Amino acid sequence: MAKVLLRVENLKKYFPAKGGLFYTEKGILAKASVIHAVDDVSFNLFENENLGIVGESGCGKSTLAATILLLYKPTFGKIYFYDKEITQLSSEELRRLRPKLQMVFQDPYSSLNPRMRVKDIVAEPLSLIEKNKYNVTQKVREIIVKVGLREEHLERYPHELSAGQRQRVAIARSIITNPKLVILDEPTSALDVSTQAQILNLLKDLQKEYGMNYISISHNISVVSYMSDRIAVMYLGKIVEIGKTEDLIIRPKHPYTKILMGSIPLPDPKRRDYMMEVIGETPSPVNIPTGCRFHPRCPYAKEICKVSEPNLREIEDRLVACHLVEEIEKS
Amino acid sequence: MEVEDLSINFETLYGTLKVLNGVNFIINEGEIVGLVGESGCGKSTFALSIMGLLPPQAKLMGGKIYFQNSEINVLDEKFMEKIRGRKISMVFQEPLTSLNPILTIGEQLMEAIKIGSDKKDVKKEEALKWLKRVGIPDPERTLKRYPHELSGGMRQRIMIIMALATKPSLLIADEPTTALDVTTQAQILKLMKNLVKENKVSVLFISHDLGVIAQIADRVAVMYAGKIVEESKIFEIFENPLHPYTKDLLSSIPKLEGKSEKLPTIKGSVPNLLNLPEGCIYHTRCKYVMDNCKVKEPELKEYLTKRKVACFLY
Ligand SMILES: Nc1ncnc2c1ncn2[C@@H]1O[C@H](COP(=O)(O)OP(=O)(O)OP(=O)(O)O)[C@@H](O)[C@H]1O
Ligand SMILES: Nc1ncnc2c1ncn2[C@@H]1O[C@H](COP(=O)(O)OP(=O)(O)OP(=O)(O)O)[C@@H](O)[C@H]1O
Ligand code: SF4
Ligand SMILES: [Mg+2]
Ligand SMILES: [Mg+2]
Repeated sequence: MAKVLLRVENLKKYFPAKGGLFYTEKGILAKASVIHAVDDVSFNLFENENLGIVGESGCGKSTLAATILLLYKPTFGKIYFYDKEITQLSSEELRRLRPKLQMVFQDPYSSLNPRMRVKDIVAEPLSLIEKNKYNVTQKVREIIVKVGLREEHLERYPHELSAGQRQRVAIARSIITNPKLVILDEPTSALDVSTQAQILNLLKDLQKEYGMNYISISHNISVVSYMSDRIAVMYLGKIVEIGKTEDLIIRPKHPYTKILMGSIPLPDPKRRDYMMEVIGETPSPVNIPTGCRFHPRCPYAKEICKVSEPNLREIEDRLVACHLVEEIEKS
Repeated sequence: MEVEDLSINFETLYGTLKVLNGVNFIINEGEIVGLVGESGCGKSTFALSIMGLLPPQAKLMGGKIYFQNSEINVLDEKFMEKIRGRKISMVFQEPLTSLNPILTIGEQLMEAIKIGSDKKDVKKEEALKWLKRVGIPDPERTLKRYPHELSGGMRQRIMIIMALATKPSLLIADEPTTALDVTTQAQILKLMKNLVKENKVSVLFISHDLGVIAQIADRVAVMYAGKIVEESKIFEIFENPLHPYTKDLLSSIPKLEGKSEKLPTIKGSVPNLLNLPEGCIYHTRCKYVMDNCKVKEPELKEYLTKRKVACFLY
């Protein structure tokens, strides 16, 4: 059995909600409380395994990523890295752990220091652990070419690059220390398909060479599919389905996953307007629907879905949080 | 909008970058034109030049831009200010950099929304209506929040509202849906299509997602190293791409199912803009390269019915 690299247990991250009163479903005027950005998430990531996370915009993916790396303080729950609880570490211990845990942020521009040159941005995490300047410079040169840029780009400032070039600088920075775990939040959203392929191939090679593990967050299902052995689907702060990549894409079980997989835009202009749509509005993460959080928009919802919240349970090859999976499968 | 032979250089400390090299481009009324191309090939620079928002190191080397049949001078800041955000508006590629971090979403939306009335509550109603249309939950509360409190996709939709709410004649959308999940994306694409139909808006739609391009564009232009190398109707380009770069690009689209060991990529690397190759800019990577390609530069010319391609094969 492979070792568990990362264990996330009942993780919650709430943000204070601003302003105003609102009506609950029963029509009672209540005071705004909190944004349930991540609301009880648990999963294991094994060594040499990659996980993908997909879900609606605003469902909590980036918050989950930042909380796992303790860039946000969890509201509740525990995180273990190789059986060591990291939610308990002192800031000094955490600082020493950082080079092993890296992240590529969704907005590369805002995560790159505008006053630093590319060469210093990329070198920074490495120079914390490698004191030999020559080695650092060599490694920076090597990696910049690997991500499809040229040495010439090393002298530039972030604003002198295109969006996709900046994204590759962020990726180079995150992998230069050969970390154990890299969380990639929309890592290739600004790259054309060929450059994207080059980066994804590189990440896979590095995994073979150095045993890196990835958690990839992306709206691009083919990116997640290539990068992950398992995929977790999030809806409104919770995981609603998690399973092996191929099975989940080809045979989604949760009603939300079905709709998600049904609205992937195909690169074929002759097939337009086939895309599935989610009916109704995205519910507010402040005022979470009762029962199953997907019930106001679910085409299969029944009475039970309105009152009781489904837990993740094992169904064949995966975990699904839906009361009616078996019934839906039969129909 | 018509662009003729637009060339732009960036003067930098390390030399002159030839970012745009004679771009020819037309967008008709009520048409959605997709613009695709390798990362760093000049798409955003092209978009910013039409908006008159080029960085100071940019030098206009030549070319003309016509908007609604009269020539415009994108360097004339006074004039551009008048049409920017009114007649032409833009969704920028990186939302976080173009939203003001210290103003609330409400303040920024009210500023952007241009409707007959200046009354605050009328504007607020309009802002709420737009937030609903793009599927942002909790519109009331969202107005009071700051950009960093929103998710990536929510910020992107705020940018889309700011561009659409001004009712422009030309909308430039630079990767407008990269932070949206596919279902929300489908909703936004539909909204854009409807606006185009209702108000005869023209759209320049820049995207790396060829699925999205296939779904929304009427016509596609392919850019490589600051030049348009092919331009065709949407069906033709997907069915029968002409330029070798277009062919290579389309065959690098990753497949959804069936895991491959390695994803296909285009061999070689993008040319150095400090020192562009002689002849055809794609010849160093092209599978079909001929002797001629190494010395002479092919021009973008008509091929068959209304297709355009810059390659000696045709
Ligand atoms: N710093 C913050 N303060 C308050 N609310 C926040 C903050 N960061 C995120 N949120 C809220 O938490 C929820 C989840 O946001 P998150 O950025 O994690 O979503 P996401 O799944 O990454 O979405 P996207 O796909 O659009 O990037 C959203 O409702 C968002 O507005
Ligand atoms: N301010 C600047 N100074 C110097 N060079 C720049 C500047 N802005 C952009 N460049 C360079 O100009 C070229 C074109 O950049 P542009 O942003 O137009 O590319 P793009 O096609 O939009 O790429 P992407 O798909 O990655 O967004 C790039 O090679 C980039 O490095
Ligand atoms: S539990 Fe009910 S509402 Fe929720 S997804 Fe399943 S069928 Fe739909
Ligand atoms: Mg996000
Ligand atoms: Mg760009």
